[in-house]
Amino acid sequence: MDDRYAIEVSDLRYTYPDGNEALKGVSFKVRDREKVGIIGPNGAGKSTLLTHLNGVKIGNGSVKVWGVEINNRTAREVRRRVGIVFQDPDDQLFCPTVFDDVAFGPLNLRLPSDEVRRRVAHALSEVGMSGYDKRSAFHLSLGEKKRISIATVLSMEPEILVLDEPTSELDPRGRRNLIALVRQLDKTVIVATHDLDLVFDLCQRCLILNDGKIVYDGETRSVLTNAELLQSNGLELPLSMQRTGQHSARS
Amino acid sequence: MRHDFIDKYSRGASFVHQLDARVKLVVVALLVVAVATTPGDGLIEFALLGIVPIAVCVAARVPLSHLFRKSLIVVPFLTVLGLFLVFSHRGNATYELRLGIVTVRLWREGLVLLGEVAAKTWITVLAMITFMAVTAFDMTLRGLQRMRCPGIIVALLAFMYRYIFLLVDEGERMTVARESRTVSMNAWRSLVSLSHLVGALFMRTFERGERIYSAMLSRGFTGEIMTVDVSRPARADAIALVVSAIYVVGVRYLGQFYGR
Repeated sequence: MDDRYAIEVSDLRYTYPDGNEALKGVSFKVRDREKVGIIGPNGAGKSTLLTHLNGVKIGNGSVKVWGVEINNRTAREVRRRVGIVFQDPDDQLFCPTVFDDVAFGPLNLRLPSDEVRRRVAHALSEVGMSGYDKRSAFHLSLGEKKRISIATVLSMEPEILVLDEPTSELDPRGRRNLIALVRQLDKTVIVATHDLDLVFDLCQRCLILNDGKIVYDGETRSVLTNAELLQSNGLELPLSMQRTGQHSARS
Repeated sequence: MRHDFIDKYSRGASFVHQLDARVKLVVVALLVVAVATTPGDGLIEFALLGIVPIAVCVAARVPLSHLFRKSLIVVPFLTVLGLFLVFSHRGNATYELRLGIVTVRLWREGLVLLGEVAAKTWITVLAMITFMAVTAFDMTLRGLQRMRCPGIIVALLAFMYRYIFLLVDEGERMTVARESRTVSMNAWRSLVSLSHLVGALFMRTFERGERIYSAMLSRGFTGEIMTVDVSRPARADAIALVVSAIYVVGVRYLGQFYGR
């Protein structure tokens, strides 16, 4: 059993060129096959943090993936192991056809054509989108685009999957399908969101990020019943939990 | 939002659709050159070349209404050009139109020249529309790439195809948002607010570009666009190329046989 951490972030700091200090010393560790939610209000630094996890941005401090520190030299190898699915599928799907999009990562890994085809077919079937390979992303529904966005990363067979707001703008059924899809993946998963129901469904552990700092790191169950902690960080109890009567004392 | 896509029929299953994109690119190029270099009075040549896109559409089961409707795009260009040609081209004979006190002279040479330009432009446009209707765009890109078209141009075309309608949608949404907040506006104020809209659209596009680049990097992009190997050209491709090339070149030099 490998007891290195899948991801180890220590004292990560990042300031945008315009002077906006997005991350102010973030530290946390994620174990193999753990599913971790990162929650926090808009502008807390969630997306900025995620882009550090595979070296698209490199800040001060350190980010290690399986013990390997990310720098300009290791970034390529790390990107094979950590796949990020960005929030807007129109950014994630930039090729003329679905096939080209899902094949983009494997082709950059310089895999032979047959292997690329196999991986595309496998990734599409994993997200339930087989047969969509010749379609153009522009003609797909948002739910379909979100699933294919995940396939574009699965085809690289990463060990760690990072999702930025996977359920935003999805209708309830699309959202339900997407949660089921992510739940059955046998991988380390990090999800940044303010959809607390999603975190409650998917992640045993969650972090609260506010104003560039981690203000909570622990069990999801206990954070999601702590209305005060949530409210002081610009979040709210999931509606489902507000109605179960646990907090009927709130007037 | 719905758009009237120019490549609506490009995913068909006919044998024309199945042909290698390079064959179709070469035939279109030959046809365009042949049309452009045919002498202006070669009516038979124009007819024989003009029939090619129509025949291809019929063979590929692309509705001719689509072909002709799309080809109307040439009308505004020809109208502007026509006005210049028929009123300014000096020559021998003229037609005179009396409009009240003004007499307008139409020059015969101008009219002939307009006819020639119209025929050439129209056939060329028909050929392009037919090409778009019988070739899936990703196949066109792959064909261009394999014909050693510079990678940056192929990438530009690919991104344009993917994002043009997204951009149009975004512009439309912003226009609706602007109009819903506009009670009354004079022309000057409306122009000012339009310029703000264009600026905002530019900024959004720029930011989207940055995000797309992040998504590319995060999937291992190193600056070179890679593609999978595609099947080698089949015998049908070779036959189609040879037959079409002989026909087009033959028609182009037809004039030399019936002595002109």
